[in-house]
Amino acid sequence: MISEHDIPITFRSLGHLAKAIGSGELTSQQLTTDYLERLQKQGAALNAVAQVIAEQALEAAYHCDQMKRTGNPLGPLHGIPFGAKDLFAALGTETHWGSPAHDDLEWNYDSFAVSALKSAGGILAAKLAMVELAGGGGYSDASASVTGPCLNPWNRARWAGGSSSGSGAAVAAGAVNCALGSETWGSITVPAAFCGVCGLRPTYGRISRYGAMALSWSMDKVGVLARTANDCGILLEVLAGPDRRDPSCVGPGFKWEPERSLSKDLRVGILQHDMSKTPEVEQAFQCALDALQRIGIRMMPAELDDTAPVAAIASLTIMAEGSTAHRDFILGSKFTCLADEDQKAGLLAGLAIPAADYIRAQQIRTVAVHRLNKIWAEYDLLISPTLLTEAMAADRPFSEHQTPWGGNGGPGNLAGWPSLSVPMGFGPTAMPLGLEFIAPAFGEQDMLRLAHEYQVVTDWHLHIPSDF
Amino acid sequence: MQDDYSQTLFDASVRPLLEIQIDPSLDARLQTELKQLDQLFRELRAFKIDSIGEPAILFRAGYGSGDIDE
Repeated sequence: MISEHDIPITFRSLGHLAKAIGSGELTSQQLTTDYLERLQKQGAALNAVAQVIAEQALEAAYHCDQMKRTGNPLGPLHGIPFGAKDLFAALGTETHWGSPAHDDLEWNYDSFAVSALKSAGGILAAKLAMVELAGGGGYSDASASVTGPCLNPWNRARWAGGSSSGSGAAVAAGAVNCALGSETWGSITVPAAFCGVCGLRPTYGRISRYGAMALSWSMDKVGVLARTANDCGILLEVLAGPDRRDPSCVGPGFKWEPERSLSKDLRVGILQHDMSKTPEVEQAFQCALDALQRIGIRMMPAELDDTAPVAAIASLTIMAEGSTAHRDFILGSKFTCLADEDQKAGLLAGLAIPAADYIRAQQIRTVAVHRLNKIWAEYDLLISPTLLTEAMAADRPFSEHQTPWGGNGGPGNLAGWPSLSVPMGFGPTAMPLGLEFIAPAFGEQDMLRLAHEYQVVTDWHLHIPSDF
Repeated sequence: MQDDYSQTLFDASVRPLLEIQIDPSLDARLQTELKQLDQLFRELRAFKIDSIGEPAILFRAGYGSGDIDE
């Protein structure tokens, strides 16, 4: 097993670095300088960075070190650099939503999520690349971004995933310790799986979206990409809680309890997928199941209700809400500046959805979510490969990719369930694979604890890409 | 449902509002998107529900009570 001490400092976990700074073994200025160098070199080479915030970050690091010297630590992220997807407003930075058409946004304030991480001592070191408008309208290839295709640190001919592309790539490349992302349908779990890092999509309503670009009001979630499940728990504790500026955010606060043992009666359902075309994924998943079995987890096959048209409801909802949110832009003269032609067509089409059809979709959604939620009478958690494919080529249309994507993004996102993708090994071309843990709404505690226990007995999260 | 339901809606309600001229290649992609949208409508209309008795919620119950006091 690889130990955390065997890997370079910028690849170590938030928990590990917090202890090192707390003990005086490391200063925030040293750490921030290391991350800024990697953002400027590796981050830029991957097209993972929208803006490096060097001056502000170094000032904040100096302040953190001063506070440490006077015995006033700021919080669990004291002195640790993080990145934010380019859809979060942040004071003194530019925000472009990944779009070449949005060069005039005036979002010069801290979004809730950025503000919460800063208050906990975190240092915003970069705005990170993303698919334009978080993929609203549907995009056809990796180049749908003002920063170009975001490349995968494990192989720069492959895509990092999207839409939180830079958040996945920068964490995987050791260019930031952790990053804010957002998910409407797959935008955290996909880059996490493709880049071999952890990606937490919390319950809908857990984290305020104040100051984050809207794509779909009833499906957007703010989340994090980080090195370990434990780190995701630390970050969720900082970020969760009600915020009157986002009326969907009424969830209770979250207290991360990594030391509390899991219930011996925990029932884990294994979601069934046809993996006959992806034997390497099946093999890696079986190894993950074996590891969980060794730590005494009781697992049995599970199947989600498939009697309602979940994908159709989710697609129509995202199209209608996304095109409504961006209506003025779509009708305006700068719309043609978007990078992806399919996305333009999708956003235009979304404007043609009648209110009656959108509302009918929400009625069916109520029925569908009720049926999906019945699974929680039998299971406490679900597990599955995050996707059935490795990251695809960065320079080819997605339609040319032969391997089935798989995944559970439709039901999980429609129902607002939390999900966590963690590294599960490597596929046939040595690219990372993800293991997904899914919980009922507000069930993050058990989900994170099980993933944490999995990472205690495995070391996939400690593998790092070769440097470039 | 008519086959060009979405196209008809788009031409009547969206196209007149556009500041931009849609070029022919984008128009072809748009027609494909509108056909896919018709397919989504068909799928959703085939799912039978009691449209009066079944409540519709735009922000889902249990998550979004909108507890704002300002």
